[in-house]
Amino acid sequence: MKEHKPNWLRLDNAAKIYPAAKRRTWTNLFRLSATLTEPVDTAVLQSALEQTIPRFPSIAVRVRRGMFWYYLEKIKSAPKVEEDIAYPLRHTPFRALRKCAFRVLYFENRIAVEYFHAITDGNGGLVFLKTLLAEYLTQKYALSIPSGDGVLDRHDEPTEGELEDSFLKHEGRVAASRAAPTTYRISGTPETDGFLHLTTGILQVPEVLRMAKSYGVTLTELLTAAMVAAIVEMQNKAVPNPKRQRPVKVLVPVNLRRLFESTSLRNFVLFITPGVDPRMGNYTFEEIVKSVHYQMGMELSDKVMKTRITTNVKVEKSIFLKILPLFIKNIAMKAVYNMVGESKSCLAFSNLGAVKLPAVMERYIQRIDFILGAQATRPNNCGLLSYQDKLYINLTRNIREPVLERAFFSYLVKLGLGVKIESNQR
Amino acid sequence: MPYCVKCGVELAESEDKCPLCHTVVYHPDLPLMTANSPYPAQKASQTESVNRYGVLFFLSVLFVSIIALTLLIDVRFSGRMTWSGYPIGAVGLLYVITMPPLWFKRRHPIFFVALDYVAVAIYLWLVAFLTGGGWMRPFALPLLACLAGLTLIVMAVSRYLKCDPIYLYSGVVIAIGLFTVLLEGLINRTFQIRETLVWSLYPLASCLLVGVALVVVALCKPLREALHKIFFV
Repeated sequence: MKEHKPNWLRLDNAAKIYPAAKRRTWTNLFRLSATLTEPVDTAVLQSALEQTIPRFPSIAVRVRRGMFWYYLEKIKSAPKVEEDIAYPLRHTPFRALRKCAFRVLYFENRIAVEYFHAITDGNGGLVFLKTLLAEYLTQKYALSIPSGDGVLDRHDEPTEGELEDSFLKHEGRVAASRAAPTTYRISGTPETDGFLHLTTGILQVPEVLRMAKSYGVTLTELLTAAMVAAIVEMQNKAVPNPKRQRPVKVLVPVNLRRLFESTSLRNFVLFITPGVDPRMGNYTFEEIVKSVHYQMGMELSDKVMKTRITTNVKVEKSIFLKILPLFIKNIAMKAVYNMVGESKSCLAFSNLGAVKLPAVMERYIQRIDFILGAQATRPNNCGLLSYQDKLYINLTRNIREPVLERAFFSYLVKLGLGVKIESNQR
Repeated sequence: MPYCVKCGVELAESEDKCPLCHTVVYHPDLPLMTANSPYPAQKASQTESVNRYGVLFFLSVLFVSIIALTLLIDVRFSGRMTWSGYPIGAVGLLYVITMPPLWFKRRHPIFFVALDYVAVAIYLWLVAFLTGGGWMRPFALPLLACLAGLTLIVMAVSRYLKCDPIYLYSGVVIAIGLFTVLLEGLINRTFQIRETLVWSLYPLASCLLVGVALVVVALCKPLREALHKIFFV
């Protein structure tokens, strides 16, 4: 296998928008964390981080500004691990991203890694976290952890496939349209001090799977339908006049590695936005489930996704865009992001799936969480994954009122699912 | 295993109230929960703010560059300073009007407006000096002083006196009428046009009528309500 250790990288196709779309109070971040069975040893964690980062030259980077594009530059040493604060994903100014585009935090038994979305997606981030955990456990307990189940061998050299921009490799001939209606916007009183509320719903995976099976859908489809139904109920209360209502859609990221051959650790996700338009009439939950199931079924194919990849790659390859100086490109890209980036869905509902670890690691790790930061203009976001027999649904918001959280989790309870709630409320 | 009585969800041991509806957790048979919160209490906010002095420096350099460029072009083509005094003065005036809010941490609107009038007076004096006109002291200065006085009084009254704004509008309208009389009087005296007032009496009369009408509306509540019903938007 060809070894590859570049000093700098171009941003991948999906990442190009993130540095341009950042603002003074918002950067696109996500967090992956693991809760151990014992308190974290910070010295060992720092040492494990130092051992791990050479294996990930596309993640152990900082963001730099070029004349025409941003780029990623390899960091010379690992960042210092930091103690966690009262809320996840605190705002990271660009001056911090210029030093390092991720950070490692600890609190009691928990190790968390927060990534700037321009360097990787949830799947790439999960591989990094698992490998870091493997190195930590190896150093702490002198374990012998084999590579596999998403854990990379720290002594291997990174491959070219791990660093490739897979979007460019899978460009097709036909481009899809981006046109979509503007969706319902959840609103509330913004938190002025940057506090991000986190509400975690813990469910039993077998229970949810049983219910999904009874509806003839997948776990993601069932929960997406519940989220859509909860937002429809919220909109009915907030905007009683059906003529003034807007479509309710949820952005569901799709891991393209499952559709295309790719081992990239960089961004390789696109999304689909299933939902309903309440202006057409009242939907029962069964109708919403069916609608979400068929919409996702239609969109989830390599051919449809290829047309979407083509649309994005064509923009990147436009000679007009290429020759624009970065500061002008930033203005244009930010305007595009503001117009189409977040207005086409109410929130992201990102399911990383069932997380598996090598058996030797599972004894030391009791929980894994996936948390998305709030969006720039919309207050909520949702990340979920399952580990062992528990499903962790992390809802974040940057407004005071927990309206969506209440609507969603109460809806799950009404459906007959048991939900345990945990939060960082102050 | 406490449950929220409103939402029906089970609550983790760290929750002393339901995070979804803020209902306080209470169960007569269970002791109060003591588990730690999943997040520490301390917080670090890292909000990024624009550096005010950086912006001030950048804009000041921009203004100075424009002034220097104008001066350079004038001297380069004319061999000396000829027309550039006007645009340089105008750029300086624009600087004084737009920049003071960046100089100070607190907002001082009355001071800023007073400063603006002083800058306008200096610019007019510069124009009068460059054109050799004798209109500054007998005409422009008293006019400007009057206008400045009127503006500052209106600002001070609206800021510090909590009176019905309709009285303020009335006073402003009457003052505008009187100002037109002053304007015509100064024009007549400075440029020796005529001895008597002619056109300014019309706006004065109109303004007096509107001003008095506003006072009547302010005093008569039923009339005010009737007008509000008819003209609300």
